[in-house]
Amino acid sequence: MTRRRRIAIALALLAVVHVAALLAGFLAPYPYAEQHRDRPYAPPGNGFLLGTDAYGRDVLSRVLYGARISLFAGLAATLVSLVLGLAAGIAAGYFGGWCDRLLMRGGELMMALPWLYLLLAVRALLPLDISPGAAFLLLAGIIGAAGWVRPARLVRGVVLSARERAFVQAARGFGAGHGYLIRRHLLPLTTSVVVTQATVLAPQYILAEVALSFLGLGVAEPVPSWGNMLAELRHFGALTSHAWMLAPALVLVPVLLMYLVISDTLLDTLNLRQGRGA
Amino acid sequence: MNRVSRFVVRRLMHGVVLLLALSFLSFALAQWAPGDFYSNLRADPQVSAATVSGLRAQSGLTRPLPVRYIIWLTGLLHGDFGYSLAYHGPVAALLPERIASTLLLTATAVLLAWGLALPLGIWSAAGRRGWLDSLSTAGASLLLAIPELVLAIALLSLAVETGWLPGGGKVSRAHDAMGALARFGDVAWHMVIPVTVLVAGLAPVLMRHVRAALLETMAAPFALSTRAHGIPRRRILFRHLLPAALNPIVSLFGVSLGTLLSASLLVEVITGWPGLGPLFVEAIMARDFALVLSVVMLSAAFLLLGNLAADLLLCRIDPRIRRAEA
Amino acid sequence: MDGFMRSEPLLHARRLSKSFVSKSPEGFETRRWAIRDVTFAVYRGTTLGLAGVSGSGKSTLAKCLALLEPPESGGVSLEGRAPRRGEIQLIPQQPAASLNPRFSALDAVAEPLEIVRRGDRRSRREAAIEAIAAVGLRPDAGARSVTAFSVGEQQRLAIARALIVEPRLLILDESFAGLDPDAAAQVLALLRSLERDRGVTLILISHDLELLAEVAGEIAVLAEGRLVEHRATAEVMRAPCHPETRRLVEAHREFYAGAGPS
Repeated sequence: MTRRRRIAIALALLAVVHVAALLAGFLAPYPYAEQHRDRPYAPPGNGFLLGTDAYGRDVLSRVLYGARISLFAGLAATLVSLVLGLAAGIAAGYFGGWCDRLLMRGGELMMALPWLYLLLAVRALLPLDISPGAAFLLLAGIIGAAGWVRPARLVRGVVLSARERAFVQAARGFGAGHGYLIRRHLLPLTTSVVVTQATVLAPQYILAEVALSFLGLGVAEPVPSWGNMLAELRHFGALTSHAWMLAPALVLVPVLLMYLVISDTLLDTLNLRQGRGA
Repeated sequence: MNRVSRFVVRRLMHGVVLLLALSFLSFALAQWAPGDFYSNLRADPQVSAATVSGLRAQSGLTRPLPVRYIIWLTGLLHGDFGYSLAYHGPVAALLPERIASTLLLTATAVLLAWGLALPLGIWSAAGRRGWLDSLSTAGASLLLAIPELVLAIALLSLAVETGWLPGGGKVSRAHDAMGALARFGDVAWHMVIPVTVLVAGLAPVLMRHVRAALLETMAAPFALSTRAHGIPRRRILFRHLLPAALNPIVSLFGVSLGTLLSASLLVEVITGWPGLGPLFVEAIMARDFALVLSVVMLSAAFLLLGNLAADLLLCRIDPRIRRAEA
Repeated sequence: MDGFMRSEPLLHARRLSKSFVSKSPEGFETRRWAIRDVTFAVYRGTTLGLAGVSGSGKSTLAKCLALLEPPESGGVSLEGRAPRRGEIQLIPQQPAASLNPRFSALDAVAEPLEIVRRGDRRSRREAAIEAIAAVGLRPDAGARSVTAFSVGEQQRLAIARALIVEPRLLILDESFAGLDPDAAAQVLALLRSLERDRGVTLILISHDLELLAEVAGEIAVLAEGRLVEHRATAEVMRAPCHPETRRLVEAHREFYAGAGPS
C-alpha cells in the first residue's frame, strides 16, 4: 500500500469517528444522562445497542457524547500546544539571546516532571469543582500548555538553521524586517514539523484527557467522557460480567492506532525526503 | 578530579538548580491556589469561620510567603517534608514505603522492557525481511495503541474473574504471617499485572526506537564500508553498528523515564499498588499541599536522577562525549 | 573611451578598509585586513572587472560597496552623495542558493518589491514578468518553482531580481562559478546587453581574467586586500604592471595554452 493511501485511509476513518462525535446530538438514540433505573447493566439488545451502565444509561449514546469531549479536548489541546510551541520556537530561534535562554530554561523546568505528574500538579492548583464546560476548556488549556516544549524545540531547530540560509540573508539585504522574514520564509519551513507534531501529540492528549477524567479530575458526571466512563470499571467485577462497558476503549484504541499509522507514515516520508533510510 | 567526576558534578549542580527553581515555583503557585485543606471545613455551616482560621493559624498557613518557603525548604533539606493534613502525620513517614514500591515497580518494568526491546529491536533491524518481522512490528504498533489504562483494567478484571492473579494491592492479607521467601513470592505475585501492563506500554516504544537507531546506523557510510570489507554480518552488527547506535539508545532511557513514571502513576492507581501515584492523587483530592509538593519534588528528583544515570552511562560508552567533556 | 570627455564617476570608493579579528585556540587574537585602503571610481554605463585570487578580499569589498557590511574606514559615494538603500545591488556567490526553493520564479523576482511594499500585487507581477524577460528567460515560465530552472537560469533570475529595483550599480560576485560554457555564454551575453542597451553600470568580480576581459572595459586587481592595478582591459592583458596581475595573466594563458584560439 502506498504511503499516500495509508494516510488517506487512516484520515478517512478518523474523520468518520470525529464527525460522528460532532453529530452526537443527532446520532445518539438517547440523551446521555437519561437513566433507565429498571434496566441497569442491560446487555446489548432491546433498544440499547451497546447495553446500559449502572444507572441504566445507554452506553452507545454516552460513547458518542463522550467522544465529543475526549476527542475534541485532545484536538483543542493540540492546537494550544502547537500555537504556543510555534510562537516560542520562532521567538527563541529567530531572536536568540536572552529570549532563547529564557524559553529553553523554562521549558527545561517544565520537562523536569513526568508529564502526568505535571498535569496533575497544575490541575491541583485549580478548583476541583467545576462545570463540565469549564472542565473541557480547562483540560484543553492545561494539557496543551503543558506540552509546548517539544514542538517549540523542534521549531526552534528549524528556525535556527533556516535563519542563516542564503535566501533569508538576501531578503534581509533587500530590507526585509523581522515580520516579513518570519512570515514569508521561516514559517513555511516549519509546516512539516508542525504537522507531524500534530499527529504525534493529538493521541497523547486524548489519552491525557481520558486519564484525568478517569481519575476524577477532568469532566465530571453526568457528562460522559471516555475517561469517566472507564472509571466505572474500577469495580473490577463489572467488566467480565458486563463486557460492553469497555465500549469506549473499543473506539479509543482504533483511533489511537489510526493516529499512529499517520504519524509513522509521515515520519517515514520525511526521512526519505531527507535522504535517510527507512 | 577526573573527567567523569567533573561531568557528574556539573550535571548534579545543574539538576540541583533545576530542583530549586522547581521548588520555588511549585511552592509559590501552591500558595495562590484557591482553597486549602480547610476549605471543605469552611463550607460546613456548623463550623464557624473563627474555628477555621484558628485551625489555619495552627497549621501555620497564615505566615507570609517567603518565610514559609524558607521554612519549607530548610525542612526539606533536613528530611522534614512537612505535615500531611490528610494523613495526620509527617509526610516524611509516608514516603519511604511509597517510594520503594514505585521504585520496585518501575525498575522491574525497565529491566524487563529493555530486556525484551533490545534483542527484539536488534533482531528486527538485522533480519529485515520476513513475515515474522512484519508481525512483530505490527504487534508492537498494536500494543502501542492500547493505553495502559485499558490494559490494566482488562487484565485486572480477568484476574478477578479467574482468580489466577490477585485483584490488586501489593500484598495479600496473610502476608505478615508468611515466611521471608513466601513474602517475596507474594509481592512478586502481586507485581505480575502492573509490571506486565507497564512493560506492554514501554517495550514497543523502546523496540521501535532501537530498530530505528540501528537502521540509521546501518545506512551510514562507515557501515557500508564494513560490508564492503567483507566482515561477517554478525560481527558487523555487534562490534560496529551497535556501539554506534548506542548513543541514541541510551538517550532513549532518559527520555522514556518520564513516560514510564506517568504510566506507572495510572497503573498504581488502578491496581491499588501503594506507590507514589495513588498518594499523589489522594493528596490532590484532599488539597493536602504539603503532600502534593513533596510528591512533585520527588518525582522530579526521580526523573533527574534517571537522566543523570543515562548521561553517565552515555559518558562512559561514547568516547566522543568523554573527549568533549575533557 | 576618451578619458578627457568623462563626466563625474557614478561610484567612488575612497580608502575602504575592513579587518577581521580571529581568535586562535590558545586565545590569541589576530587582526587580518581583508581590504586595505581601496580607492577607485566607476563611470556610468561601464563595466569594471575586479580580479584577484581567493582570499584577496574581493567578496569583502563587494559587501562594503553594497553597504551590506560597514567598512572600518573609508567610504562609498554614489554621484557624490551617500548611496541610498537599494541603489547598489549585490548578487552574491551561488545566487541559486539565494533563491527560496519554495518560491515561484515570479515570486522570487518580485520579492524586493514585495518587501518594500511597492505597488500592488498586479503591478509587482508585471514588473517581475518584465524583469524575467529582460534577462532572456521566458516569462510564461514564471509560475514554475525556482528549482525547475537550471543553475544558469537561476543565475539570471537572481540578476532579474536585482534589476527589478532599478539599481544604479550592479555588483556580481563570481557569477560564473559552476556554470557550464553554454550557460556562461548566455550570462555573458546578458551582461553585455545590460551594459549596451540599458546602460547598467556593472562591477564584475571573478578570479577568471578571461571572462572579465570579455565584458569589462577596465580591470582592477586586488592582492591581499590592496588594489594594485586599475587600467583599461586591453592594456592590462597586453602588458600587466603589477606582479600579481602578471601572475593572473600568466596563469590564465597557461591554462588556456593548449586550447587554441578561444
